[in-house]
Amino acid sequence: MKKYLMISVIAVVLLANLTPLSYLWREDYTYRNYDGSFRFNEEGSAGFNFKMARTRYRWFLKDHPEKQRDTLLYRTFTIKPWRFWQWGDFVFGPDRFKLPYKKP
Amino acid sequence: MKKTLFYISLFTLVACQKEKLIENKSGVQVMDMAGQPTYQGVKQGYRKKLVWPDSTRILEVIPDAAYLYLKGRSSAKDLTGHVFVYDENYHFLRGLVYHDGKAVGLIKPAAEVTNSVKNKSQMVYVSESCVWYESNYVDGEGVFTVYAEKVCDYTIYDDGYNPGGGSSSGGGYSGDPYGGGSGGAPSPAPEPETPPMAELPGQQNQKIEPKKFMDCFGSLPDVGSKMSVTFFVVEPQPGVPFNVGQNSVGHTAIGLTKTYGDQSITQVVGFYPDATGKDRVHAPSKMADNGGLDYNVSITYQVQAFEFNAILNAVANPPVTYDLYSYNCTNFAYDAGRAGGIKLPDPTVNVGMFQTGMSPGGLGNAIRNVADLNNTNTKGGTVGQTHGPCN
Repeated sequence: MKKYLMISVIAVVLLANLTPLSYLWREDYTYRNYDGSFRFNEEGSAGFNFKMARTRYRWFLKDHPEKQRDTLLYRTFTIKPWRFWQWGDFVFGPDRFKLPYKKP
Repeated sequence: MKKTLFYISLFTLVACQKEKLIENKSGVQVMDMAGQPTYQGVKQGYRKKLVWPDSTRILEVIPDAAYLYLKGRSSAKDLTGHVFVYDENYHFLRGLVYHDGKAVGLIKPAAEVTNSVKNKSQMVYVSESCVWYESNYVDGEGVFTVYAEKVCDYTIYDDGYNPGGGSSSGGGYSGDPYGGGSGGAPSPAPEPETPPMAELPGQQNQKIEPKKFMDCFGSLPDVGSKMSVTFFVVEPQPGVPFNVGQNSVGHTAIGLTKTYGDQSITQVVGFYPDATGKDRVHAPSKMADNGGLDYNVSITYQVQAFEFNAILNAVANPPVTYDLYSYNCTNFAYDAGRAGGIKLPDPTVNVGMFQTGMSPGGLGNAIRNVADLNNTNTKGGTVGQTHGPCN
């Protein structure tokens, strides 16, 4: 019985992370700089991923040297470890969760 | 899920085999009818006959595939899909597009439509742009039916003018965020005010006006310019033809470059749903700047000016509706290429639910299959900064 329960749980987690459901349920991870003059939204990660956020922020800082007094990029989403359908993001893209948090 | 689908199919089959008569409280007789419409090349949906004492109407109900996929069943309470209305002689009258049980769009015979743009003004300036676009399906009688579906796009402009607002602090604005003023030590720099969050959908996202991006190419002459079009693909799982992977569902972007002497303009844009969460399955569309896109494969075509301009025109005027299964970013890029005579390697794959469709995974795999050609890049890279909009 326990074996079947375990298999079912694993199957649900895999389905939620490795099927189109993950795209539909996925949180739009959002970021900002210290004063909110730069903002980025991952848009469900269809090309807009964390790497693009960093690239765009680098360009932004280059174009706006006056904003370089705080060059940190902040996440504006909270970490919700109970969302099992986002566990794939913890595995494949953990760096976004290491950013400091700032209110949206 | 398969079991649920099996029961839905079985129920539909049984319902279609015999006509069943039900009389509801309002005296309308409702009959199930045999036969199914064919929509997007697939037999789907069901028919019902409604009989009043003095008239008869036939309804053809076609729930969205994605709605059925998510809900597992079709219900009038939360129907998402199309309903076509016919008279007793099976003349197509009109129809409605439903989203979550609410009518959100109109359907008319194709011959009866006119497109319009209206401006509604209140505290903000709202532009309502409604477009009738033509489509077709085969009704339950097997007749090819051309119809027009109305889709409206609302753009909200707020110039930020607030007559009742203004600074609440005393004194004039010094123009120096670090304080200054006469005498005394300068006070520590206050943390700048955070701009208010957007209150309108789409205001904070990467939505662009594609026409303004495409207008930039007009600053370089066609004669003497070199033009190229590149299709960038973010594969869901790089190197594998999966439709979902570490890069979610992936993405296909289209890049246009025009070079005249030492001047060059590049714009890379993509087609997206203007929605969040599960609403992304079927939603109004938007275009986004794809500068900085981290892609896995790409394919580039050199084109003539007339081909380039045809593609540019297609990108500047994207379809108003996005559908994850039937018209996504890959369909858009593929069609834009076709407008300029480019036929991309076939991106059609099985997208689940026994349906085929275009996907970034399919296009990525198709490009890898022609990787020996000079115009392909299977090592990937990052799209550079784009030119941005021009007025």
